[in-house]
Amino acid sequence: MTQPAVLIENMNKWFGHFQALHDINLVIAPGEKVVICGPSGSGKSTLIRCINRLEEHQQGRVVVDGTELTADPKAADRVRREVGMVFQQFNLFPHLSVLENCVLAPMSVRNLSRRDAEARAIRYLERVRIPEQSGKYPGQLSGGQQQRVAIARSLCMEPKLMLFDEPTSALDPEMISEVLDVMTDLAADGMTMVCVTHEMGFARHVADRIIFMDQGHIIEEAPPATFFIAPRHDRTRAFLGQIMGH
Amino acid sequence: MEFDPDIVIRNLPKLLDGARISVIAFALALGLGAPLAALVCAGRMRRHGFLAALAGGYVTVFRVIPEAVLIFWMFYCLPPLTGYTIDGLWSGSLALALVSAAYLAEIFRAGIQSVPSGQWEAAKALALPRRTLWLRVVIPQAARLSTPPFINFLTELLKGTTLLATIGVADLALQAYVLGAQTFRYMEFLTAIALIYFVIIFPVARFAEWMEHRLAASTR
Repeated sequence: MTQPAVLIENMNKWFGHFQALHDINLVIAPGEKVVICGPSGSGKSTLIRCINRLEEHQQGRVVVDGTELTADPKAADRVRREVGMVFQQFNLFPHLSVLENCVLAPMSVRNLSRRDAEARAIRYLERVRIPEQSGKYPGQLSGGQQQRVAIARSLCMEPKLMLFDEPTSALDPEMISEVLDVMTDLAADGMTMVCVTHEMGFARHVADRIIFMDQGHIIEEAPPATFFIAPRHDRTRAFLGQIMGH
Repeated sequence: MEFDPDIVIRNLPKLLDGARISVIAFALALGLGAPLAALVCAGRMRRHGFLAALAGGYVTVFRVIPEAVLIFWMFYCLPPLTGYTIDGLWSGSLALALVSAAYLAEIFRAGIQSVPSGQWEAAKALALPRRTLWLRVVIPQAARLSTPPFINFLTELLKGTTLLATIGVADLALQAYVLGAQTFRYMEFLTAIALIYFVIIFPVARFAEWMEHRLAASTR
């Protein structure tokens, strides 16, 4: 059996006295595309952030690409080199040009020469269909463009796994599809992806598996066909009714 | 009594000597204070521990003691305590540097803390080494946000150098006072230096204001 991309066993997480995640068990295979959905406050962002240790878990195990995440910062570092993340608010570096945003990590983490890093950056900016903006600053781009740059910036590290934390939630409606198109392409190329999103159309077409969370628990896991047509739990049905009902 | 501007012109060399001393005191206070501020700020960025407490204590102490008291204390009390005499320019500038470090450390800290948490998270998610995180991501953004308060602070520091006149440092303020006393022309000399300080400080303060507005507009 191949090593899972992500292995989470009996994981619990608290913020102070509030338990944010309850007994999470999750295995994600290389190449798999997993969509996590659920109402706000259900712990889905917290869960995805535990995968690259932007949040620390207190109990259980989180193993990413064979490395267990512990208090040792080297473990987090090793994982983060192989795991890209795309944020709701893009989090591009506003004082750096698009190109500089893209070459910073490859040059300082992977020790690429500037020429190689720039060639790679252009390649990925082309892939997210935005190569002509490489000299601009993030503030000069639309939200959709910024998010595509953020995806390219992550891809420049050539990660094995990509995490998407509500990548379209901060976008104007007309810009959502340009970001989802890029993500769909990425999925088609075989990238392992974990996406927290409310975009159920994307989930239906791209996901191998959909995970529904509520109040810090994984309530239901199913392939899209089963998930949308025959959800087993009342809470899943209620949630789907709310977001698909109109 | 007549106002005689010529007497100021005639004594310009002495006033320029004073201005030179003021500039030296300013440069010493800033040159010693800013690196010390960076260290204090580094301590302040820690959440717990001895260094955090030390840096916190430093800021409290040197922001609470009036500058003039510290200048007197270092000039009059330090020599008998240590057995060394240092001249007024050095001890006064050092006192200003100690106070400057406390204020500058807080300016730097405010700048660093105003860098949004998403920036830190993006840098971490990209596995950027600490050095790169600080030098390429955090400090450039913090510096931009700290510039207006930093420039404002420079105007305060320049004004603060006039306190060194109280321990006999022949800065611009003391020169004017002495010349006033010698010629009984206080009006001319003191008005002249008030004008000189105004002409230097006013444009700088306006520049800081302008930058602040520009920053506020660009971060909206």
